[in-house]
Amino acid sequence: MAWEVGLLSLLSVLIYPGIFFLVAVALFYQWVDRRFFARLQNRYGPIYTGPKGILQPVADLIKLLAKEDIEPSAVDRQIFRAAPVLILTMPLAALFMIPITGNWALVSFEGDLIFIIFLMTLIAILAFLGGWSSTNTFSTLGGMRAALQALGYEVPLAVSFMGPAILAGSLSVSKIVQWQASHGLWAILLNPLGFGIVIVAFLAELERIPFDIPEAETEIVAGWQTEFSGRKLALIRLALDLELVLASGLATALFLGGPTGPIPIIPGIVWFMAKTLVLVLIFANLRALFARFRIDQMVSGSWKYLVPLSIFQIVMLELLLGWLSF
Amino acid sequence: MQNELLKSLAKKPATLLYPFEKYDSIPGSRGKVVIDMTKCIGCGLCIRDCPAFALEMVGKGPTCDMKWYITRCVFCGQCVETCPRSAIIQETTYDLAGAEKAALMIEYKRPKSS
Repeated sequence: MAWEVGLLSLLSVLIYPGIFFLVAVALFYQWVDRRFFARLQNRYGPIYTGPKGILQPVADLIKLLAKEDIEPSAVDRQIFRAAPVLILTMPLAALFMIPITGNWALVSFEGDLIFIIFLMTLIAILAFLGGWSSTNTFSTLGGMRAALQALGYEVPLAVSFMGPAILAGSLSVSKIVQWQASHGLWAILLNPLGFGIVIVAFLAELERIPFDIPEAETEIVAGWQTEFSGRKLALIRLALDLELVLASGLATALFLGGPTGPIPIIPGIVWFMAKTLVLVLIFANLRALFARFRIDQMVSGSWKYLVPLSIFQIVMLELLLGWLSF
Repeated sequence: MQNELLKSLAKKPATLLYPFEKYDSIPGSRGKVVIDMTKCIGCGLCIRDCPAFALEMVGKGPTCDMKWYITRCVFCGQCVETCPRSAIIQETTYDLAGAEKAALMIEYKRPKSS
């Protein structure tokens, strides 16, 4: 009996809802993002590769895997080689803690929300290390800006995550989803400002316009990703796609009720994909709408506006909970 | 700006799906070089004038054939202006790209007078 449970766990981790499924979802969301972003800009987006261009992200990944992996002679070899692999494992590890198919994630323990925040900080640090080890001026600039941007968005993001955690009385993402399912209301109804701050801070974490300063194409070539090519670049780009799934999945689980919905017959995964797709479309819309911020505008704006607003949201939430308990 | 984004969603994209959709040639534009070999006298003035060495004579004099290299031509129209018999004209065809180098050289042969 034990080996069957072990096999089921292994298949869950590897295939569904594990690595294989998550990579497929990440590539699918990249396609949705590219098509929607293109239609907002009055152009087509990928339409040829596969039906409606849906295989374009797969084709890009395979192309990069087949290309030559050039390693400049002056790079810091161990970190340069380790950074792409590690930056791929961080979102995968964090995604195991987000409920995707049901109310419980593959891995859940008290405090796993903090662990997810820790993994997201590690991603930013790895971006810095990747840029630093490349010993290229553009890469160093990009890496420094990535680390500086992390200083900007981490605090409002973490404080806004505390809103749903206070509501559910727990720091476990699965328990927050469980609380929203059992009470029949989404946390966004009581934390609307927190949700807005999370969307803005996630745009900064995913390094998307208006906060794509670390990889500002028109200014510093490719930022911290400049020297990576071939398989290393393929792993980095896959990691960034998985980060999109992680960000929209986490925002869905914390604020939009996760994989639950009013009609019980439809499986949880459908609700999860629908809600995260809405978030992906919101991210793409914000990308098309804004121009790029400067790094000092981003950090100072985050500390001047986002942090006070997130603290204000927590205060209002506590006052509301106090009033509701009367 | 958000309104413009939403309007773009509703409109058809502005991209031209070349080669499935092509735009019409613009009248008066300088495109494919065509030599009317019935009017050509083989003087070679067009060859001397071409800045890119795109025209070549096969043979000599009034019985020559002409070759035009698309890969070299800059479509300046000097040959058209120089020809004393107006044997060279430029059509408005613009999609001359090809995949094989042999297809990118056009031979204009003189019709055999029998």
